[in-house]
Amino acid sequence: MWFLLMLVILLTNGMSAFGLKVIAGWALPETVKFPYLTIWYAAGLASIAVPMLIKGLRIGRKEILWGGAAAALSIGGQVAMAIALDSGVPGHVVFPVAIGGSVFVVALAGRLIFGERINRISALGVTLGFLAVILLGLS
Amino acid sequence: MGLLFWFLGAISFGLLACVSKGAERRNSNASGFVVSAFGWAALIMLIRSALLKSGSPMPSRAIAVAVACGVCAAVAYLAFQTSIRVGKITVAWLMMNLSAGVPAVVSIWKYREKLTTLKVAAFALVLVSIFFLFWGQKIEEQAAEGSRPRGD
Repeated sequence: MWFLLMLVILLTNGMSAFGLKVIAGWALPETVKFPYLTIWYAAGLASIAVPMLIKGLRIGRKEILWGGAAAALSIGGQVAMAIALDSGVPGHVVFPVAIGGSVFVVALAGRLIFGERINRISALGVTLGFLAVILLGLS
Repeated sequence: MGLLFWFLGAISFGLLACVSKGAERRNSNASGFVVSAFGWAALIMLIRSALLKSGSPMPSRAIAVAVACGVCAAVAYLAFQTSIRVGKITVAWLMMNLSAGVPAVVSIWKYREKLTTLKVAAFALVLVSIFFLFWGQKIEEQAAEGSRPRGD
């Protein structure tokens, strides 16, 4: 189950951001970015909400509040990165460190807040992965 | 000033994963959480788009790309939210970030982008990292099975 979920994450999350690159190649006006993201989020919402409705599942207050916090942090992160880029910090510096930094924050929180312990092999994988995301950002 | 926002960006994305884990710890329904997160974000973007009044209509091919990529993103986040119930958040979040290698490979194939030494090193590290992460998870699963009382 876990292995399958990781493969799904690798393939689908990777491709989810590819659209911005595709439309960038079409030289559309900059203002199209926000309607694009509106449809992007709405399509994602529908793809999970429709099966939920068919199954008769409902969203509670807990999900609405936690989901709101997640949305605020996601958009807040993107706005902060955009401001950093506008302030003159080069993109080849902003992206790798922001991505690597978020992995570091999660690793720290996983250990200190959620009490997760990882074995030595996984720790080696995390270290190499940390370097890999920085290199991916630089390249 | 730029450096402060750069730092805040990294913290925000890290906290996003922590909020997901917090929701999971409070037995929040994974699908409901993802629907709520995407719903709030869609609403904020809709308001932003309305305020912008771009005037230029979006081409249908761009709508098709947005729909396909949005569905991919929701499926990915649901898989992430489900995986942190059975596995480690650090590993799942790292996998979300390692997935950046997939569009990089597609770009090389589709746009004939140059395969630099840095990219080759990054892809090699991604593969080696995934190998160790999967191996580490296998060890944990075997240890969990070993510690379970016989006859279950």
